Amino acid sequence: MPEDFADIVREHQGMVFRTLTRMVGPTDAVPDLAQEVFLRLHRALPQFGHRARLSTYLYRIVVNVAQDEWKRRRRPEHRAASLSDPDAGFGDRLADHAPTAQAVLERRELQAAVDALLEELPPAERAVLVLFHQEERRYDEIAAVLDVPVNTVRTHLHRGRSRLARLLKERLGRDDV
Amino acid sequence: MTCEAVRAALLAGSEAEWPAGVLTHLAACDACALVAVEQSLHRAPAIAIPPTFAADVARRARLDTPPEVPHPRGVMVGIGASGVLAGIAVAWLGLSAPATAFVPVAALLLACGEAIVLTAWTLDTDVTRAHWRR
Repeated sequence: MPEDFADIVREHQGMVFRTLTRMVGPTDAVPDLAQEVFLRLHRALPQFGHRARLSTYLYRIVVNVAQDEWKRRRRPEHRAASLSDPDAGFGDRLADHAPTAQAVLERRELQAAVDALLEELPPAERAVLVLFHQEERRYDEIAAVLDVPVNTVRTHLHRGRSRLARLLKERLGRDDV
Repeated sequence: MTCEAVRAALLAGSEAEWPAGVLTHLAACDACALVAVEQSLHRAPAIAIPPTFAADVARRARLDTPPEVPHPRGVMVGIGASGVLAGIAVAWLGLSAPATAFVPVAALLLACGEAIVLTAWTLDTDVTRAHWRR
């Protein structure tokens, strides 16, 4: 390994934290998940062999770690409140740092609402939206990260955006702003 | 409020104030809701990286014992068998008359093919392969 591993971590930690925060929500678990990402990278480096760009490889690991976290949360004892759960108050349904429904009138609250609604999407759509819009990855790069055809990326992107816009409209309509 | 005014507000800097009625419009307009979603996704979330994160992870990585890469017994036996078969084929080729040399040549090719397949299969342990495709 020519570079010091700490340098690799420093170079990519912003991307890893950013992407994980969007994919799993702004939880206290993000630093631990980021550590898991880099440990997996460290274990995989001997087999890496520059078959792919390091960033693409790292995105794959981030997506897999996020996927594991989603699975863990789906277990009953960790089940997060659903945005579509009519019995849950809106405050319960948002991530910890999300504002209450009454406060959803400002730009920052709109941002928080979109972030919270993102968690309602199927994992594949969520990952594609984050990689495309936030990380500004190309279709072919996302396809390589997720190991799916480019057309599947396009489909997930289109469906994800439409679904998120519909959820946002419903939310804003329900809040009767 | 018009779509143009709403989109101008959405695309304005993050500190710019919004005119009244933006969210009411978004609740009723598909196209503007889509623009709002794209703009929101484009904005990176706030993150807080612990100052010693990189050093801590590097230290942890040094202590982390990588899991043993399993060498399936069948693959090892297969590679060994390929080597033995190739050796026999080469020796046979040296002793054969030119007219009957096709048999050891075929055996040699078969052994090489088997070795290539087994080697490729053994080495292709892409541990980070996305494993969620259904």
